[in-house]
Amino acid sequence: MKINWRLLDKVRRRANPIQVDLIDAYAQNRISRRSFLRRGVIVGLSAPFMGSVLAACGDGESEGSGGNDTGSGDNGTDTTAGGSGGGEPVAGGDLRVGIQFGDANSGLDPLNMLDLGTYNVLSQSFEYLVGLGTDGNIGPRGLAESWTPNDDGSAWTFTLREGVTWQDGSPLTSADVAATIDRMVEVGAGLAGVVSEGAVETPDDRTAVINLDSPNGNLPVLVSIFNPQSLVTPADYSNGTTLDERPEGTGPWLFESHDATSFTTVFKANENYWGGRPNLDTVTLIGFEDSGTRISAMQARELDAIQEFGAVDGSSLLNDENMVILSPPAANHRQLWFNTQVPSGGPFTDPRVRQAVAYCLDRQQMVDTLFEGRAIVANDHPVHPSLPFFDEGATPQRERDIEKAKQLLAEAGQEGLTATLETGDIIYSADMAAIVEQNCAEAGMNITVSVTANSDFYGEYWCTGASWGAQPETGGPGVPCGASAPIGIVDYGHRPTPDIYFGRALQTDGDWNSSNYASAEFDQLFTEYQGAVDVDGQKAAVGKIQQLLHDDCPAAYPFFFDYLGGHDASVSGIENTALGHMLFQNASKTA
Amino acid sequence: MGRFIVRRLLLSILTLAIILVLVTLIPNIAPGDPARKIAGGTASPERLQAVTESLGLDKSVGEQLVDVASDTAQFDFGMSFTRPTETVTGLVTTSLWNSTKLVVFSLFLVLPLSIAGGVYAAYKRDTWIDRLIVNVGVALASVPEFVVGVLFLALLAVPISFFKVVASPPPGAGIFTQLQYMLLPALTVVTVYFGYIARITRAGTITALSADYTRTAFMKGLSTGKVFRKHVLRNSLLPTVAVVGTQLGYLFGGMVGLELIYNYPGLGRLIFDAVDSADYPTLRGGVLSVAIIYMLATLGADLLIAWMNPRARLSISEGS
Repeated sequence: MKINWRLLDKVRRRANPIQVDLIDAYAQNRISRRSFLRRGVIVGLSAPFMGSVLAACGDGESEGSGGNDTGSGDNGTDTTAGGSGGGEPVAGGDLRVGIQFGDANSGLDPLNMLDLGTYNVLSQSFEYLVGLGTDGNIGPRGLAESWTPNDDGSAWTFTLREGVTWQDGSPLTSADVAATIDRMVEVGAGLAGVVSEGAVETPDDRTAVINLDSPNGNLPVLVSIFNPQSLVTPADYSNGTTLDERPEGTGPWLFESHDATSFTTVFKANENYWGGRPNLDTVTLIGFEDSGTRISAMQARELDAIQEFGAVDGSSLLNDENMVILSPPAANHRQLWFNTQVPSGGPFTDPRVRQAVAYCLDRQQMVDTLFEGRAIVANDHPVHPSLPFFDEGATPQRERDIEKAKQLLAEAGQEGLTATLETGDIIYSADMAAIVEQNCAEAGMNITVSVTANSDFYGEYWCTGASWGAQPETGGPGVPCGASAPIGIVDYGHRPTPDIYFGRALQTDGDWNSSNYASAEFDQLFTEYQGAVDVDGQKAAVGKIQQLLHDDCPAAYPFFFDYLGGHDASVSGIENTALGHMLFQNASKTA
Repeated sequence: MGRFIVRRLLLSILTLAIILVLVTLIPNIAPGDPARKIAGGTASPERLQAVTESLGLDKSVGEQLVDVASDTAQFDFGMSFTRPTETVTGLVTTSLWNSTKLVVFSLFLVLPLSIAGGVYAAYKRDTWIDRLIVNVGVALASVPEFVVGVLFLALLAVPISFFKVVASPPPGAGIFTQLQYMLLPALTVVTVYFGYIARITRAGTITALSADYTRTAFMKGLSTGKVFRKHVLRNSLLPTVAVVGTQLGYLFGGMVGLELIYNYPGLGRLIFDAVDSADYPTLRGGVLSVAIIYMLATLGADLLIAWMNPRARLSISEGS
């Protein structure tokens, strides 16, 4: 890079310390251009600003930065794919979309919803403070048009977009944002331990300052589309209010009707939407309890678009040349956990045995057979390689090595090990378990697979509160999941940063820590990572975490897989996230 | 006759009361804690307690029974546990109406077809056509409805746009569009019930055909058609009516597989989901409505049989 020092100095002066740190990291070639752009959005750099940095660093192509564009980037909107969809977009029309049947327990409650189907419904009328950017990242396309951290990342200032109104015509104000954050704090909603109640200051109607309990370098992600429960609702909304009870929103679609028995919701275009009236007249979201039927209905074109399907079940759609497949980058994964403490003296309390299983895994076979290649091999830690702070050099990829596995088992005195692998009947898990069984048999291990209905699985074999169902009491401090199985497979959905995977699944006493992993070293590194707001600090901590998890192996992470959704080629402009949101404000049917 | 109906209705109320007690007891005997399911696996103890109280599950079984009985007597089924904005009455009414449409349409197809088949098979007894009807019927009935449903989806609905994957029509659809959407699930019901009803009808018809009164009718020179209309059918259809009456309850509440496959929001799915999500008020409302349908259907079948068969009528009016 040939650096224009004068220009670089000029832009650095306009940035705060956290932003300067990022700019320097890029200028000194410590992070890639892509990482700079992704991280830049999170710490509040605008697209033109990042363009200036790129120019100063001698990188002429400054397009695609930020996410201020209309979203035709990498969110899966691929208008070139598909065969016959070459017509001109036409105004009007109804779009029929097949979605997951929403969890009845939450109803259309923006704060307490838990499933992809409900996320999709609620995010039509309500919007996030921080929207969807490009490349599976966040971007300033939500209700906040910009944000900046203070010098140490302990307070973040969000500037709201002008001219945003609720359905009754009253303006969106910072008071709405403050009330929303307070409600999130009340139920947790990803902000537990990050923000406390009453922490949002509102100096004026368009400015909200969120004061954190301690510095946090990823706060914008927690109030973005990637934390689905963070939808901004009116100040006088309350915890538990549902959309059908009180139709509201600032978004492109107005709630028209909802039938709970079929989980079918109809929306009509919001004429006063701040981003301009959508092209379509109506959108109908239809719930399907049976994913096979959802796929058949898409195949028969009774639907225009489909939310989430599996690679194998949906192969007919993947091979359909009139389908456009939407597959945003995703850190979805299945965790093969080992119980590192219980039963006492059990085989998996020995790290050599855990490593032996990890060496047996044929990761490429899983990627190929479970996902038909729509996945990437992972290296026994939950840090997705696309993250800015992923450390490539931390530890080499674990390759399959049966001899090494046998040797480790022999050292541990566990040749011919026998164990029962527990998993739920959720998509991919049972098939993966069968592959694990075969893979380990080659090293002489005798692993039997046991599959339980997913609704019972978590309470029986995984990790739950101390009093869940028939679960016995937990084993005390450091053993949050006293009754979790010695070895099992559990599902984790996409998160834009690994904070949840670290904090809940691996930290000592984490409420999802089915490995009962209790490592003072890990806890320390996690604290360092969360407190670090600079690129080097995050990368240093994460690199050590990668290596620690890889070596200690409290769980094996064989792959990250892509989310799959799609639409007919006669539709254009649909965007989606790996959490199931489908955005239709730019969608059109073609003639 | 009047006494008969009153007595039957009183018996029905007793049966309904027993069902109500059983359904009310379920939360207390089923594994797992409904409040835990509804509040979520990671809810705090305070929230769990609040949910338990809001569901009335902190009360004793006796108190719960009294509450439910008095609410039910006032036709107040309360709100759904899991969909707090929906009344049970609303959910059950919507689903019941959907199921009614599908059941009526299915019966409209399967009854004439299977009765005609059964009567014809009896008339052509022991010929190839008889064997064909009986064996095809048995073969079809032995395949579970959800298997037939999936086959129809793959073979008819996906390739041919006239047949629909999703059985619920778009809002505001006319009667013929609605029937078009419901055609595949209705045809699935036909495949399941054709053999069953045809065989019952065939057996009844064979008995009636060999009866003395039929022989007399033929001997006094009545045409075949007239003998069937005046003498045979009235008697041969008695078992058929009884069987269809008892199957109605299942058709309304038991077609979960079919409703899932065709994404049709019927009563079966409502009840199934209510069990799954521990939504006990909805479960209560759903099960009670199926029980009521079952009772009305069997009562209707008995009255129909009485009307068709003078001997049955006699025993009913004697009130024995």
